[in-house]
Amino acid sequence: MPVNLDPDATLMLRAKQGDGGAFTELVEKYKQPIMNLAFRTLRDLTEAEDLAQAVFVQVWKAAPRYEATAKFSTWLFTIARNLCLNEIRRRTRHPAGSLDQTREDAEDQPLYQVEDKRVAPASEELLRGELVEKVEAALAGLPENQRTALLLCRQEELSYEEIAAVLGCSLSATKSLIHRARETLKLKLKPYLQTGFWEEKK
Amino acid sequence: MNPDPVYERLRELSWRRPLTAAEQAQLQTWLRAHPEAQPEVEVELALAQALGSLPAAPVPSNFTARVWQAIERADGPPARATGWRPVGWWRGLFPRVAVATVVIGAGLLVYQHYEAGQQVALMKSFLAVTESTSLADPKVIEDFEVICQLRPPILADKELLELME
Repeated sequence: MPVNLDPDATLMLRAKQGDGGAFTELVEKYKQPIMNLAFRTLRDLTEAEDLAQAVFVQVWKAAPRYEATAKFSTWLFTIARNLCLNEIRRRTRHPAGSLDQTREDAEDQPLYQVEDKRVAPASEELLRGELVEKVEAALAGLPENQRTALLLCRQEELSYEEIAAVLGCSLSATKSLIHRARETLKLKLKPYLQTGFWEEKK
Repeated sequence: MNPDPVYERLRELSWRRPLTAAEQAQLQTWLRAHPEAQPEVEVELALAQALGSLPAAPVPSNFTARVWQAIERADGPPARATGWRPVGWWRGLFPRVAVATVVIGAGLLVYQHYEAGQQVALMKSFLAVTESTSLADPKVIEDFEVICQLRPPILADKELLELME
């Protein structure tokens, strides 16, 4: 066992001993990142919720075998990615139930509706909504490994080594995946990125 | 794109998180020396910003409770650190042992039945042979020695007969 355990691994080792409180802490901490990954992979909120739930159930079931040899988040995202891949394979085998198809039919619709409590939305918000939609669509068009690498890098701030472990590839291959994903996105989104809307706040 | 190490480092950092004020200042300094890279850098930073500001997927407020419900439905609490659960282990092994016992028992029964059938058939054929091969009357072989000493019969010369015809 490593000397310097990350706090999450410590919680997981407690969960391994049957400590439900420790496990609840982990669920609370990681439910959002796991939902983000599942939602952006599956593009369906209900399925993403089910999958995220299944990830934590699997973590609990696998707890007796857990060894703190790597960061907990790496192990967790590996489980999440494997379940996402299983779901993608299931959809491929049963294309009739594919939600991607539904999404194509409703290409102009937003991915999910968020209640807008204001009476008259500002034009900036409309623009933001449109740009977000374009970014989401471009992201969805990426190959699964590129998208996952990019999301883990940017949104979850995993290190390249951790992303490589999740994806099961080398460090250089991981960097290459992220680079290619960004190049594709830049190409697709260039007109939107040049609006100046996304400029880094000084 | 420019392989400048300063820019590469800042670019990779911008992929992962928003640049700090110091890093942004460093980037501006670099850009003043490389004004031709300005449009590309702007697009890079805009993409990083766009990816970073994507909305989080909504998580139901009862998510954790639902996870626990699913766990209870699945199999209850995890085993202790040993990772060995006697009840679960036995529950998994018992059906296999039962099936193996039934299969082996059925195999033995079939074999026994086959063996018994073989023995009955052997007995029947033995009886048939003993009944049909009862010893001949000794009178039949009374002149056996004389018959054995007889010369073989002289056969007709078929070729000569054919020529005569």
